Amino acid sequence: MAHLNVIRPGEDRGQIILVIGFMLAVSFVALALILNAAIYAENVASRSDTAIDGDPVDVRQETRAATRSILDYVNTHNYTAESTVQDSLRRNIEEYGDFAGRYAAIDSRYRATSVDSITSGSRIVQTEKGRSLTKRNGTVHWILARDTQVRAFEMAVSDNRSTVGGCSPTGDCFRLRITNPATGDTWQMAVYEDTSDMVVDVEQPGGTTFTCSPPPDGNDTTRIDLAAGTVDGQECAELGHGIPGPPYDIEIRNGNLSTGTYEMIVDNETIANSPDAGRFFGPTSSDSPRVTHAAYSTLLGLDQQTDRVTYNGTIRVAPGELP
Amino acid sequence: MTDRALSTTLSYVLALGITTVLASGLILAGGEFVSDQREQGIRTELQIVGEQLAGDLERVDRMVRADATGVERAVITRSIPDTVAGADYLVSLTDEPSPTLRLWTESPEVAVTVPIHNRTTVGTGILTEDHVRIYYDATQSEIEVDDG
Repeated sequence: MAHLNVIRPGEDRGQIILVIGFMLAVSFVALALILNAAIYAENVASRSDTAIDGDPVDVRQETRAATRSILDYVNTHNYTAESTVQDSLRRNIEEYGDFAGRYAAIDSRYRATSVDSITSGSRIVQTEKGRSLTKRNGTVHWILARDTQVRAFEMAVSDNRSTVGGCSPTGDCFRLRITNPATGDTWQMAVYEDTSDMVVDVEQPGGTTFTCSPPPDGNDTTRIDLAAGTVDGQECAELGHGIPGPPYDIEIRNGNLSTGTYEMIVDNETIANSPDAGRFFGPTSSDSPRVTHAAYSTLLGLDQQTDRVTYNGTIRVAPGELP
Repeated sequence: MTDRALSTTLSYVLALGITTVLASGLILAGGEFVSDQREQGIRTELQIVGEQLAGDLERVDRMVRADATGVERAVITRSIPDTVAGADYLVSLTDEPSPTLRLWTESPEVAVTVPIHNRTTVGTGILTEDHVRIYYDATQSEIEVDDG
């Protein structure tokens, strides 16, 4: 340090400046490291790490959609025995589960689908579109199913009155009535041909009424999908509103004043197991109206595991269930 | 002309003094800058960690909302950094007044809050480890977090 005491002109060594420069350099290196860590963290955050392959919500929807198709298939093929429908449904869902499981394994995911339970039901159907909507024996006011719940209820109805014109949900034209006997709530729908086109009038419990009249298409048949809330494919949001909760009775009034087809699945398997000969033909018949064996709903178990997500849940599938 | 206005000693003292003042100013300013940037870095990283955890919480919420009665088990795990810009930090989940994640460091004091947009009730808890488990407790009908 002795040299510090002697400063000769032109021999300044600037030790203090050097030390300070060194300190500043160290500070800025530290700053660079800190900023780099922050940039790295932002970079990591924007990668796909935040998304999850095979999100359980998506997997549920896929499984539900696939099972819906399988339900539709087994209910319209080989429906002559309850056990056949159940076996077919179980086998098809298990095959789908195996396939989906293998597909998920490609992405390093575990996915298993199991059939926890199947609720048997009956499919009530009329396929002869020229036939009136009466009971098998011709009775015009009749109950299709008692104390039940219905799903996938679709109709294609034409007015069969001698003179077309206005009507109402309590009038003298074809009507569908859904009543909960315990609460007394009644929802009813009249379908008729007005001067211009087909009209659907609905009366909710409490007396509120409204009309679903799709744009005139020159077609004298109207297609009604109660679950989807559509008339001739056009949305009528109020259509299914106010249908009382189950169990309810489904009744046709003035079945002779209309012709057409309908299809529904009710959660009561005894109708198909021992069909009332006055009301329906049996599962082996091709005449209308008939009742066949069906699966009303199924409860599936879904297990999924990825490196970050574990999910176990159940999915109940009953497409187009009312209300 | 060898006479000088200042003696060598005075000149030396002045040079040393001025250099020291200037250098001190530089170090202070530089240090302050580094400190500010570090806090900013910490805040950014806490925000990122918070957003990731909030994203996972909301994902569990969506799983539950898809069918609350059908969920038996919904768990998401996540590894988070054990320090942010060299500082230890803590994470807490609160539900008052609204579900929020709070992440903070004590030295320097930096705190970040991240709101959670959920419909399922969330529990409360403090996370101290670098491995987090977010899960749905079906018995309590609420989403909870703990150290995985």
